[in-house]
Amino acid sequence: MSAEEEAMEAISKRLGERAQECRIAAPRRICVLVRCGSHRDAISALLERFEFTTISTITGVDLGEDIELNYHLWCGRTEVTVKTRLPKIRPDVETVTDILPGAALYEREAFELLGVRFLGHPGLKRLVLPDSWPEGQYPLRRDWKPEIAGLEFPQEADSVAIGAEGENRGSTVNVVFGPQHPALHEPERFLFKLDGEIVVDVEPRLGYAHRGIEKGAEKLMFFQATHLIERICGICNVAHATCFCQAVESLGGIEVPPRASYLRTIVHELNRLHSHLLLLGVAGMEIGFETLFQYSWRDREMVLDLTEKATGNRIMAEYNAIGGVRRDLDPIVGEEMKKVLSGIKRRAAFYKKLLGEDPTFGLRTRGIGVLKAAEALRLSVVGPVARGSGIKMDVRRHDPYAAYGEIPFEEVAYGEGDSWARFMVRLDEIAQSVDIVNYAIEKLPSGPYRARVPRRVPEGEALGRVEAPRGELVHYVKSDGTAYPQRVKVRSPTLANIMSFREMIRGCYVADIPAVLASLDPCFSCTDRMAFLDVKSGMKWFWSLEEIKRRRLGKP
Amino acid sequence: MGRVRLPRMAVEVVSSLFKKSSTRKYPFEKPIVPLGSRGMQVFHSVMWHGCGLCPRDCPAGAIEMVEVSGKKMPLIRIDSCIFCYVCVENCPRKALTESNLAGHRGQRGARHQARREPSER
Repeated sequence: MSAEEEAMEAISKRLGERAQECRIAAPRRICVLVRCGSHRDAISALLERFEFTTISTITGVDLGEDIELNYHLWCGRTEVTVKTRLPKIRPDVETVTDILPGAALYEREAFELLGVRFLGHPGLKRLVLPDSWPEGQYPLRRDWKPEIAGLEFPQEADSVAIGAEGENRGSTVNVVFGPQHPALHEPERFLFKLDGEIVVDVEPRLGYAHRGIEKGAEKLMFFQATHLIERICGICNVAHATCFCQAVESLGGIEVPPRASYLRTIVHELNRLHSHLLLLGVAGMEIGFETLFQYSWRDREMVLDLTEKATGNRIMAEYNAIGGVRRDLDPIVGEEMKKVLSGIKRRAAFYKKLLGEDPTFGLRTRGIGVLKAAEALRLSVVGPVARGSGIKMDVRRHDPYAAYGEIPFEEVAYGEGDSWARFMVRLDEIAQSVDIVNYAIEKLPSGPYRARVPRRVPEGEALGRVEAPRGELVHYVKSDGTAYPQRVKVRSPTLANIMSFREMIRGCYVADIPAVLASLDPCFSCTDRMAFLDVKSGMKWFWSLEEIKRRRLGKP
Repeated sequence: MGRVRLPRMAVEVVSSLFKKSSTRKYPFEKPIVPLGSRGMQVFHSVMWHGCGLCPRDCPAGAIEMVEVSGKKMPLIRIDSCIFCYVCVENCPRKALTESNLAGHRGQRGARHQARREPSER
């Protein structure tokens, strides 16, 4: 029995009549529509049947009369989508956080953006929208418009919401870190409950880097939305674009030429290389090992130069398009890539030796911020965080996309679950990525690199999964048969991982906070993309070229 | 750090001493741009026939049609442009072409620079 049939059988056996529709949407993708209220049964059936069941995300879609909730679960070998529909006038649904604690943030997201009330959720609070956002305004509902909302920005939040709440009980003291956080150069806020030097609890607050990309993508045609989606994150932009393109391609039944899938793989791995080298530098910086920061950022520069030569841009690669890639790889660039990357592989081996033996690095990372495998699975963490805790979870291996099905590689996993293991996973992945790029350049098939695709995309929905540098990235795309997407939902890896920070940091010292947070490799601009903020300013101005030139040269 | 061999370190230090500095004084020195880099688009008014596809396709809304001597022509706002080259790719008459022209200092002699090989690096 195939994995798809096994998952379908597990659900239909438990639900019987209540499973209204069961179909295999694509290879390794199942879609099950269950009657309202039966989704918990379906999910617990999957949890019992498959040991490694994790939740990818919850997508809410406004269908007009109803709100549809899609629970995307990864069951070891298949992605199961459990659908349930709620009436929009009374969108109440039972929570699944008691059986699947990893769903807590996704439920909060659906609550604030679509107004779905999850009964029994332990803390149904704001996640990404500003504290001053008025009640009863749900920006992802289709009938919501900034004009009818009558919002005015900026609004002031009351101090209670910022973290002054909560009485200081006994010796516990609340300390607010952020939004201008000293460790990471991205805005986010953490409310730490400290007992002397020891962290008792932490409550992260996201949402300071909102740009409304999900809502904004609905106003753009599919091929335009690719360029917007790419800008979700500056570091893993290729992963986002690849994921979105793959979702649209599977929607439209578009076959990507083999050369294009190899080229995608090459640029995707370059992206991973530069992300991991960046993180390594940041980690060195947080620990006080600034030489490592200088070294690894020097190496990263070489990868960025290669990216620029191959794709045309240093950071925003703009390489993927629906139906293939936008540029061919020059054989000279390919040769240069191999040469430069072999140097990076040598350096990665050196860093690994260094970090493995260096006593200072060991003291700051070994045994600190431990996340056990069972806990990691319960919280549905992804990527290097999961692999650092010994869970073999790599989309490239278990749900192969692009050319990964044909490229031999072993997934990296360490069992320790501490900060050190998470850094080691990334160091090993640097060497592995170099091997993947070398293999792909050598075996690069000939032929076209882009297929022509129509602008309209047939009606339907699809799920794209990609192993971004930080972990599993999920894009859900729904089309209504026009050239514009009806709904785009992005689940970035950091949203899945941020819950585990709470488990890691409990019992650690304050001084370890930056190092543990860096080992998570959080990317908050990926995570904050849902709300629609800049609605009222309406300000638009242009600078002429001359003016920019003048300003740049410092003349008034 | 005794384990890092001294000769290797010395080689790196000495070789770095005699290398050119890695940073460039950007506005005063011309940037070295790789050949395939996406820079400012070049507009060929001879090929242009006014279909108006580029302002509709531009994801950033950076292209506007303005009247130049009685004809509608595209004006690309470089400050809004994201250099995705959708306009270059989708232009049916190839009236917009690519160049690796970056920064504003190298604006003079743009087309010559676009075809020149990048020096050293």
